[in-house]
Amino acid sequence: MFSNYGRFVKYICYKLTKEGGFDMKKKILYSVIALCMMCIGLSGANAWYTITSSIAGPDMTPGTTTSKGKTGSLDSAYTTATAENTVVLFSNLKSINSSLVSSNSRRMYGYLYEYDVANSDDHVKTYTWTFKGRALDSVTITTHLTGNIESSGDNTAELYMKFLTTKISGDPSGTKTGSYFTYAMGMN
Amino acid sequence: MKKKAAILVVIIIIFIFAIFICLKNQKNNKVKEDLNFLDKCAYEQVSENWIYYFCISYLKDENKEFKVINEYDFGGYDLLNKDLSDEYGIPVKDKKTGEIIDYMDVNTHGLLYGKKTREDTIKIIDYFNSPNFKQENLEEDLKELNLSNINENIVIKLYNKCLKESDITFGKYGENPFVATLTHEALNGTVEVGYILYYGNIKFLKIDFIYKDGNHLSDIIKGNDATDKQIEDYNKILSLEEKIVFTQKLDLDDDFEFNEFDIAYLKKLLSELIEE
Repeated sequence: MFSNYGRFVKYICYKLTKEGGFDMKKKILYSVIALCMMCIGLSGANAWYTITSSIAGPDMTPGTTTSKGKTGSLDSAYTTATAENTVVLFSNLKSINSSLVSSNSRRMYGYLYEYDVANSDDHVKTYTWTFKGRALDSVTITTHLTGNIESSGDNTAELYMKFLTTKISGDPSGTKTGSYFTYAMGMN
Repeated sequence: MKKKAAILVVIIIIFIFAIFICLKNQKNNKVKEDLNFLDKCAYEQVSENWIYYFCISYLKDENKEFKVINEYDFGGYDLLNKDLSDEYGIPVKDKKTGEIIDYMDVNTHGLLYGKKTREDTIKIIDYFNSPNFKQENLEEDLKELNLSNINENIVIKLYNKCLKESDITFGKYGENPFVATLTHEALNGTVEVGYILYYGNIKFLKIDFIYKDGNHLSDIIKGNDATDKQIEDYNKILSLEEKIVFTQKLDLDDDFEFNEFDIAYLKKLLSELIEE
């Protein structure tokens, strides 16, 4: 438990040093969160039980779904890993490459999967992002599955993401989006 | 014989260098030739921290001229993320309930992401991109939007300024996000850079140094406590910002030294932040 928990605290420390920036308010906030989480951890209860380190979003070709991203083997605090306990955190959100057309109609989709060795991988959630111009605007989470995503008693889920940024008429062929966000996958 | 061999080596090196330059230019030209849109933008630094913009994106008509208006965009960014008067993030909604369940961190604080300014920004963008938008009714229509935290006069000013903008050539930084901010730890603090691009050209670039106690060099200068070295550094930073925007080059002279931080951190930061 301490080693998994340590990964979460490490994530918060990472947020403090780079992505939290040097906004004092955020520094204080994340420090308090880390302290609280350490106390909660010692008492036996956890928020995100395990989480991957920050992963750079892919450099995407508009209109093409990416291949499988980095897989995280993540333990849930509960007996069996369930869809409801998966989480994806996005951060360092930027805009797409300036060579692409500015369009409020553009979308970015983040598809969360759970690797299944015997059957097709489970499509757990979709994160649908909207744009204002070239900047990300909002995100809506659709949860496709409920309940267990592993066999009963198996609390370890193997999660990965695929992404798609839609193509808009006028986008130059061969131009990619750039990596415009980072993400981390976790289990509660 | 040796002389001939040396000449041959020099010729080969020049030839290889020329091919390299041609290939690099070919990549840039490919981007420019393939562009089917033209952005025209007007900018205004409305305060120490904030740069607002209004952009019109054009597409080609049947005569291959950029006459078709594709979209309007309005926004503003605090390039150094200094303004702490608001909270910034992208709202996360659950599709089933429609409720906002979280906020996700953004790289650069913008009007679109501020809890106080987001609603106004979306109203403005949606209005301009709606069939209801008519230039002759602009002032009246903006008043009817009942904006709470964005002054409609700045929107009108920027819109009118944007209409008068001339075409510009697509710049070499087009394969970067149009706005970004990055920090790099130095020995005694943090170097921070933020930029906004205009059609692939660096339009604004802001540099600052944040001491370990959280104070910004740009804020210390405003008080009476700044040392001569700090003032010197600040003036160098302003010169460097102007130089980069004017030349569109990120090369820093080796003899361009700062007192408060090693220029190597700034060089590394610029190379990570913007790709040519």
